[in-house]
Amino acid sequence: MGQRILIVDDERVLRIVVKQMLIHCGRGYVVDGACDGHEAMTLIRSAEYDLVIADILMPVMDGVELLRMLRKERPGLPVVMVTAVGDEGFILNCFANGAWDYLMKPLDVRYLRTTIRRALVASATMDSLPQDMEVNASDSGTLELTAASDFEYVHRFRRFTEVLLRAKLPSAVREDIRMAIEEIGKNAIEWGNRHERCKRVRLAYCLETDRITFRIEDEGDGFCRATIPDPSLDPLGHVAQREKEGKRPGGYGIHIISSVMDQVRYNDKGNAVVMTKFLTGPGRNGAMPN
Amino acid sequence: MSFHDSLPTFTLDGCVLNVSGDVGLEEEKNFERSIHDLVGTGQPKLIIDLSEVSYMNGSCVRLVASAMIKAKEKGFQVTIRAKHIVLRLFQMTGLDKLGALELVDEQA
Repeated sequence: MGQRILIVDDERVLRIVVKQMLIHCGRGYVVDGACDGHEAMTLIRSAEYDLVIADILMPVMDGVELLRMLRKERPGLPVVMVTAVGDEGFILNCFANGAWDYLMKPLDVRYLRTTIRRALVASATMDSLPQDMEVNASDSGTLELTAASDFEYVHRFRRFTEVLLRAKLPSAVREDIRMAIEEIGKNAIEWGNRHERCKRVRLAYCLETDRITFRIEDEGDGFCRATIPDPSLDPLGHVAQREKEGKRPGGYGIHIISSVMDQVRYNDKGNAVVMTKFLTGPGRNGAMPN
Repeated sequence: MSFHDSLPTFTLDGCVLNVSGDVGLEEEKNFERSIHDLVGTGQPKLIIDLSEVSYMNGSCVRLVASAMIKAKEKGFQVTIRAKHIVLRLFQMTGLDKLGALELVDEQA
């Protein structure tokens, strides 16, 4: 049998439209519908689902309450929120309660398909994912995630960062930020915490009027930035040297991040990176502000 | 350009690897496999067509770099086609020195 998806929405038309789209996409999905969180929980307790797509505002039991219950009963089940609610409080609440992604209505069908496919791939490994994650946010434009050292949490942090910053930053800035989160987040897990899931990774941002600053920290032994050579000076020599050290080709991410972010600083230990992107003023495009 | 992710595809057509969509953290393994298949064709002139790629991260740059180096070792020639947003990554890392880069007209 194909992968099983549950659509939870009080709008019957939307349930039908999404269900038909999924049934006819040729991937063999089995799709059920529920009109609120309560009905959804009844179905989830009686069948094995691979993915839940849920609205937020629903009668009887809303999407956030559904998320809370699923986090306790089925923590390995990815839940994609699909909603017309763009309020930051709701977005953060969903993030803190373990939502896998947050899509805004009206739905971009192509993007919905991409998200569903990726969520289903993630669902195969989510059961073994350590569920300890903590989200802190404030009204002043800060967000912090502390979680087990797994790419899954880097993915969620960058997705919710994109959702929260969508209306606040131009797309070119968001592209650079995405790259910075993925590269440094991946380094923290791969090189910092050495894939030890018992270690934690902390990802945070602070948005101010003229800049956005990210801080990514792992629990590893740190490294010395100066020991990572600039690959652009001698691309072949760079790869040859890494091979000699028993490393795969790499070292590009740090260099790219230094190019796309305006400031990149490491702490003394080398296990925390602070990256700043200036949004206005002389700090943009590499010039240092006073 | 849409910031939205789009479903990535990797299609090997002779000596050309056509890649489209959003090639981020989640797609690295598929990309790596496709690159490996491309170099494995043994064709002396290889093309990695990234002109329909909307986003690519540094790890994927690493994969292309590996292919370029392996191809160079065998005496093959590699051409990368891409829009500015992707091409700039190759310029930043000096990989433009290893093969030909072709900027694709974004309006086309």
